[in-house]
Amino acid sequence: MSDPHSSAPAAESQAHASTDHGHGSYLLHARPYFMVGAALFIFTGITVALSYVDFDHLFNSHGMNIKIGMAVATFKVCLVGAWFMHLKQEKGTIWRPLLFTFFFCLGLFLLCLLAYTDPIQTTSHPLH
Amino acid sequence: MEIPYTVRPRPDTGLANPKLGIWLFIASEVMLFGGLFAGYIFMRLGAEPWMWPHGWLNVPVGTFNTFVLIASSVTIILSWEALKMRNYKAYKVWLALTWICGLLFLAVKLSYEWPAKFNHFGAYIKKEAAEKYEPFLGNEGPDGRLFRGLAPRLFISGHLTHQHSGESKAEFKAREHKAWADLKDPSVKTIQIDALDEENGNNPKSPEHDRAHFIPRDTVHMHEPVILQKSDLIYGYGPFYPKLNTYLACYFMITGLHGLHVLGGCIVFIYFWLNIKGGSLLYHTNHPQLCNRIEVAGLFWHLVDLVWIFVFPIFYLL
Repeated sequence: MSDPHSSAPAAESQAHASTDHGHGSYLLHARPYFMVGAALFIFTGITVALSYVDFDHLFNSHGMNIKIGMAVATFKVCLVGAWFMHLKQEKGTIWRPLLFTFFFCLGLFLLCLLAYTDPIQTTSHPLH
Repeated sequence: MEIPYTVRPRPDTGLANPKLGIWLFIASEVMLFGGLFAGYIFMRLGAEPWMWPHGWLNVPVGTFNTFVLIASSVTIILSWEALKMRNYKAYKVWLALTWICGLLFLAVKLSYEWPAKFNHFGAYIKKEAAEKYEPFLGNEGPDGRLFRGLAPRLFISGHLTHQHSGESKAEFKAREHKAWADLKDPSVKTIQIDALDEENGNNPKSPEHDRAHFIPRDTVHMHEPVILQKSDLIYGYGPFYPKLNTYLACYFMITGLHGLHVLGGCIVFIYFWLNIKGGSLLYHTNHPQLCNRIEVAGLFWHLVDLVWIFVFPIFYLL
């Protein structure tokens, strides 16, 4: 959670250490967080509402509800990552390992889909 | 020995050590939960359509818990902002709200959601015996599930016992205890169910039961108890424990692990909140270090929130 208003949070903290800011002034900085929090509340409601719409039937395609539900969840996760975790202004040192894990996870999901589209029908064990 | 770079950034990484450490930890956690979600998807895609349950979890309660966790994500960041701005009182209040939200989340899960599952009975009927239980399954006939192009329902669930009018709580508990004991007793060949879930007990052929409902519906108290032959059931029947089916195994595994993370986060926040050496007293002795501690714990807490954002739709809604 590095400070969105500074690139050196620790140094700024030390600078603040000698002064006492007025009560409530932190709320001015916190406005975006309230807005993101409100957006997350709203999108949670949207996720619940969308789950009761039969998109599979509407688009005549299997798994549409899951795809749409996951798309909304991914958007919410992006909001948390970008704003609450301040990833949108983080350094490459943090991004690089995260990108690795992202691609490994993607690989895991891909393996599941491959197994689904090309399932093992039988074994070569002599007893089977 | 003094640990270097707990506050100031290291020249080579450009980050303070705790921050780099927590991000590497978060990366490993993403892999852990990513693996579990991948396993869940693998099993769900491979399951026969009628084996994968929908609408077993209480959506309003799950939604409430989601709101609680999102609110705690906001409060922890406000706590950190207040701390950086040297507003000690606000820091303490927001931090307290954060761990209260965390404990509230756990309380709902452990005192309501999980116990409700442990009191519920469920059984899968063998395909060859389905006809015997057709009045509770609603598959056959012109308005049955098969006619509507749906997978057959082969699952019966409800409560083994319910309290009769005029029956004392102690008598009911004794009867309930015996019913669960009979379930495990191999010499008892039948199972008696007093109350069925809506889709089994109240016109199972109704299209109303084709989709999950937002507000969970009551069980239907049967005039005559429903008798199941144990030999007609697939192994694993009993309370809604992980062994009943893959869905419940995944549900308890993933929400349990997530709950442990919530508990861990709460313990850390309470530690920082207390007026002890490594906690809030640092405000007076080493303010920047306390800021970093809250920042790092906050990042972990956002991960906990992030995981729940996926858990909620996957298990409760889809």
